[in-house]
Amino acid sequence: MYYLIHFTKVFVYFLLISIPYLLHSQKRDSSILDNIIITNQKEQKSQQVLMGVEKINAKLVNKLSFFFGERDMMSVTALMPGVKSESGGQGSISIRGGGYDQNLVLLDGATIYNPAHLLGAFSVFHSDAIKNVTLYKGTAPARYGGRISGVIEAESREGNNTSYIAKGGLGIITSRLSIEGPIQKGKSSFFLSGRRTYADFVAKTFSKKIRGNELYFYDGNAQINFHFNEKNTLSFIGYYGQDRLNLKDLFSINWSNLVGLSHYQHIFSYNSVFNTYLSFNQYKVNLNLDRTRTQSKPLEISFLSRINEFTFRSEWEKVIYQHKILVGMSGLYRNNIPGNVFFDGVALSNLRRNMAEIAIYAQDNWQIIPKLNLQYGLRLQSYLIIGGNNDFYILDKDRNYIRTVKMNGIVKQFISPEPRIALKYSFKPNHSFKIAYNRNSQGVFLINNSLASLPTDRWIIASNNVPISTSNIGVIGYASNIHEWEFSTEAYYKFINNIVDYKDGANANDPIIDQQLLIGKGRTYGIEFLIRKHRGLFSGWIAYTLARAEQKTPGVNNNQYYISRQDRLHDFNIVFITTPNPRLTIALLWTYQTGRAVSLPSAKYKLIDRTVFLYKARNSGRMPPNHHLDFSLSYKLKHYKHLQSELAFSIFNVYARENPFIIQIKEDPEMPNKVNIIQTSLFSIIPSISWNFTIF
Amino acid sequence: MRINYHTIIFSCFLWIACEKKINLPVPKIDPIVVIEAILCNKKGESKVSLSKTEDINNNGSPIPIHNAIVKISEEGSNVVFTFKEKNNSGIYYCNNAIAQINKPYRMSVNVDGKIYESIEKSNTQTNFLCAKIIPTNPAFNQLNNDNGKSTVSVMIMLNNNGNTSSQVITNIFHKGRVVASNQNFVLQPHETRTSRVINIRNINFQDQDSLIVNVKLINKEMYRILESIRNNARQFSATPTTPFSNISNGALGYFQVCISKSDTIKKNDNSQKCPNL
Repeated sequence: MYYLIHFTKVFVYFLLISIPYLLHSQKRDSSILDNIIITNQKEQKSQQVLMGVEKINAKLVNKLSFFFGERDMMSVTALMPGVKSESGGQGSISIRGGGYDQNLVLLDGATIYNPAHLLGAFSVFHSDAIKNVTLYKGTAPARYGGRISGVIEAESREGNNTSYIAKGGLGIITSRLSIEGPIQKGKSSFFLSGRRTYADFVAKTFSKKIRGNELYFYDGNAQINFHFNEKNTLSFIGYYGQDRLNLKDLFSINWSNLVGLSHYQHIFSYNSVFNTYLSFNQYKVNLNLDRTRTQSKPLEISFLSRINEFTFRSEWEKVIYQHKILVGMSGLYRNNIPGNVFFDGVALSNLRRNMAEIAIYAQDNWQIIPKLNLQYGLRLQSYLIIGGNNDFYILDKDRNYIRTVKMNGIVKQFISPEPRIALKYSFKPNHSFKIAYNRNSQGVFLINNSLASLPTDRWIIASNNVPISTSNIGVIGYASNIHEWEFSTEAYYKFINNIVDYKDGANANDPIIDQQLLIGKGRTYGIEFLIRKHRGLFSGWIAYTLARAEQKTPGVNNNQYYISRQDRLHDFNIVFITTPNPRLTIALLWTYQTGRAVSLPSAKYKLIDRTVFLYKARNSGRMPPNHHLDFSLSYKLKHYKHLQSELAFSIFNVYARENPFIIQIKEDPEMPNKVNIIQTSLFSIIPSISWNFTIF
Repeated sequence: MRINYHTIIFSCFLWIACEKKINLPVPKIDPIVVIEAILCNKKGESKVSLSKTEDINNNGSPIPIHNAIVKISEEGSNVVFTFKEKNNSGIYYCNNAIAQINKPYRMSVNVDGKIYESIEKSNTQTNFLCAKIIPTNPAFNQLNNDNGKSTVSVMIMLNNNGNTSSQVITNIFHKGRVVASNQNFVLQPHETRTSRVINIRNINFQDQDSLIVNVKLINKEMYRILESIRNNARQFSATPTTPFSNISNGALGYFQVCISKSDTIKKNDNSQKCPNL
């Protein structure tokens, strides 16, 4: 606490000293034009100071709708070098070898804990509702914190404040509709968007057996903007999405993301902007299981996992001569139910955790000389574990449970100073060398219940037994832009402290999950290449990543480094887009990834009449590689007065590759002493057609 | 109570999935000795099984170990039980081997001159109160049974008198065959009277049939080993790991000293030995 107070003082002094200077300088720096206010200005990669930044806009995504015709922002993000999806889906994304929980996924600044629908087949970000997605692969601006690998920030579409527009799409299993327009012309606007899958409706029509069963998701985005005058803007943004799976009379599960956010922007002058955000977000998993019924008394079992966050962020950006300065502060209160089981509404375990995150940050982007740019900053992040009269577990040195105690006040505090620096040297116009360093920290972790990522995986927060994770990443790279061509390469090394992993033989369902976890170290390193053509008859990119992700946990694998679950040695993506005429767009994608690291047995034996397996080392085996070719074609139909529309045809996985989702070792049902390695694949060849329209 | 909800959920997504057998290169190792030794308080329940690990691609039965010298002795006394192999099966028996409450025992197995040892102690008397067959959720019967077989739900009632947690293992037998094995659970200190339900799936159970419920109290370390065996065999496990062993010199398996109690139960048994909760 002492350090927090001390750093707050330093920050306040910094503000007091700098404000008069900043205000005074407004009169002097009129010659400097900057892109603070012009937010849509495109920046070539060779001109960016930060490394590992990718911007994906809706226009590009609309050309790459391979999976059921869905215009998914996350699926295109996963085609960038250094970004890998767990199973070819869009949900679980690993950035530079980091865990799936190590990415801060933001919708206009509010956290989305599970950006996946239906096991990652779809993401929560579709291009009708989202304007663009910005990806930071570990070296993000100082305003972002709380995750150690990457940041994915989606920016919602604002409503049109001059005319009414309706957009939508009708597809085979999903449809969407969005409406936007002015509330008061030129001053305020609204945007509403909704989407739902209806595979369950179709299936019910054809099969009586599955009536009463459900498997679908829906989501909706809403935004209202008020432009009071040229200097003051207020926005309210909302998102709600839910997945439902219901098997009649047996169990039901639903998981949902909820976001509510307000954003106020005040422009002091053309080079000075103040932003304030206030948001609430919730991720919730609810499972109900009618496990056992007696004649007189039905016994209902339910499972609840929930994470609530209230966030405040306020920051000021200002251009002074060759400096672009950002100062700000943020506060977050997080309430977590990691996974409680209820019998007839009575909690068997009633674990709750509370945490506050407070951060202050400052950053300067300084053009030292025309050829040399420096961006440096500091984020001071503090994590406070708040007791709130909740149960906390006391473990022994071997992390075995001793007893439970109720705690109040601040149970534990972690402070993480996070410096960041990035240097760019442009030795020729459009050619630059870059070097960067970032330190990040994280106080919330996702604990997998199984070898696949499922919605029932539990979020836990740092506690008296689980410290925060910290990472240090160093990157060096080169970028060039020649006409419509872009080439960039970046090499990185990341070291992670306090990475959480299971003990050997852990019981993932243990209510006292702390005793099943061990704290170790991790390291990831790799090199990424990107060649991209932006315009012309043919456009697209080739991305290749050679990378390694490893971790070391005391008591696991003889205390030696072992391969992390998200390690992929090779990752290769080719995207090819052509527009032979203004109406027709054809796109092809081929993607290849090394198979996921898994633990494979070296031998088998029998105990208690069961076949059990001997595992020599954790994650020492590999699943088969994951690759597929996708095709999409969109054809713009003839305009009718106020209607523009297009037909989009796509084939996902053209050569019907059976890519592994998980593998299991199973006894052969016909030969009890024989075991087989069984691979489960999710999506084979999927042709799809959809009709997209705009009414204006 | 355990809920394998992730298994259920994942299974539901399999309607869009396909499965196939594949071949993957797996690391090879030399065979390792596997010992499964149980010393119980009831006559005939004590036995020691000896075998070796085998390649996962082998289709045969486990390779038994013959001509081993197997002894279990009571620590601090001269009581020694010598186990003899029966029918060349690799399973060694000793008719008079009976465990006493709270006594430590040393198991010693000599295989080709290499000695494998383990010391274990029995725990206090089991807190098994009673068992009864209860109606099963109809949905379980619909989903989990083949060929007219059904699911039988058995509720067992237990009592934890101590101030610490107790580790319990339950086996259920039907017509001499194990129909539910290694059902492990921990009673928390506050659970003075509690119940657990075990669903036995795919059982050909008639109204006049009976079940034998055997409940054993084991120690914490043994419970950890049994849990690791269960997690090893479980599908979708987050961290597949070799089951723990409490035997020296690199042998796999376990040496268990247990105190057990049994109850025979029938469907529609109206004797009020097991009250409603």
